[in-house]
Amino acid sequence: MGSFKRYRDIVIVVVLLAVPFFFLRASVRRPEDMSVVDRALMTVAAPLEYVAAVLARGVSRIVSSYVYLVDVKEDNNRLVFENARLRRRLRELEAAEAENRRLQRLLGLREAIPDETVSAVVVAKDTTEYFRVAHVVLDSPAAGLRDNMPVVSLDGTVGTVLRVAGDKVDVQLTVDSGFGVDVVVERTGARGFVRGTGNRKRYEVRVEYVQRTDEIDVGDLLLTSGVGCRFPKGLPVARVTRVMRREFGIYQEVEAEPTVDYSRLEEVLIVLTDTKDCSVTHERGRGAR
Amino acid sequence: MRNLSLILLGVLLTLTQANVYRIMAMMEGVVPDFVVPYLHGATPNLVLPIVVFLGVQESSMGRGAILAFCLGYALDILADAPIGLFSFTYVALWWLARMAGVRLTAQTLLPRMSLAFAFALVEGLLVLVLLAVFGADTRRPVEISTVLLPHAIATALFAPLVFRWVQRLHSGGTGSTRGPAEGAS
Repeated sequence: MGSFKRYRDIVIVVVLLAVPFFFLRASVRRPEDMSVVDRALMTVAAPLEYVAAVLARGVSRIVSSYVYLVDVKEDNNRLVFENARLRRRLRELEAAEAENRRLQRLLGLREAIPDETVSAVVVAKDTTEYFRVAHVVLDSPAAGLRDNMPVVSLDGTVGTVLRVAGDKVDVQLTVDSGFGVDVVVERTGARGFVRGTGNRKRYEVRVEYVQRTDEIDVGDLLLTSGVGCRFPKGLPVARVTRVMRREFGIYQEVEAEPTVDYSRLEEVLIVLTDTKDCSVTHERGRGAR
Repeated sequence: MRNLSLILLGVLLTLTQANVYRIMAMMEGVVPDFVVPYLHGATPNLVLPIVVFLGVQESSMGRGAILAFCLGYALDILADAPIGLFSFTYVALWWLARMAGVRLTAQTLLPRMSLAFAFALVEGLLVLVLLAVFGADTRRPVEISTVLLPHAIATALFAPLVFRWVQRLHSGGTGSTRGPAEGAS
């Protein structure tokens, strides 16, 4: 009996090592191909992630409030109570005004994009160190949502849809090393191709294929070119932070910072474009995980 | 019941891990400026200590392997990783911890942190190798290599807390556990 149990356990371990290893190759190459079980579990996990996000947001607010209260207490040592109260009130009004402005811009962005869009809320991001992916939950159900659709926010491009499971959508961020999008420099019209770097220390992208003779400078805004029919034309992608022009060679080395602040990203819009005629760009921009 | 509670703890910790970025964003305003660049690479792996604990303390080989697989699969699903990546990695790590567990003990703070640190490094290396072998994106493994150390340090810092919770669940609240050497036939 003891020997049977031992062999049974060894078989279990071997099977549990072999099965995921067998599926891993296909899964790494085509992450969007999931089994029914994977898809069902993702769907089940979505509300759990939503609840966790709500709780985390609540805790963050409480901690933030505590930090603010400490600040206010310090201010009270220097200022009269009335002044502090008015300042707090002013902050609240500014926050409300900022939120109002943000919502108006979101509404404006939605109207500015010619394609149909669906809004979503970010519930999680960067679960592991290895993939720069955000999880979002749709505000309302949307038909025809599928992988590689563009995701944008008020400040510019956020990424592309990686997987869809019910109302839960996984978004590959612009800064992920598997991401790519064709861009133009707003000031000069020079062309380039933005790729994520996956750098964990800060959010940054590389701009490839910028010819040595093209005019590009630190501070230049990069906009989507519309090539590839994925992202609508003219959306901000990143702002140039470093340009290294060599004496020889075809291209210059350019680094940029995304216009979107991913650490404070809460709401996004998914653009429901039709990308079936753009398979070449799809493969180029997508890379592999 | 004990197995289910361990898996639930794993899922709960994965969900917590997915929201660490909010804390990081908040901490940016509190910590000194020179620390800020390192915050983004320092998301801890809160599930890894469970797997290490199971490898070192769980007497049943079959149960330990299945639990490690379930935790890895849950992370595959919740972290948008390629299906199989963490399932494989966690079973391999569990096996490695079991092999090491015969000689190592994980009862006090320092060994626990050291174990978690070492296994977080091994986990990162395994993921790096698997992605280098199977992935088509040549840059990703290079980029992953830059976060191995801050990731391992963050995991080691949180490991004692997770070890304590797992120990409670594993022993049914009594706090006592059996080593693999005792249970292995």
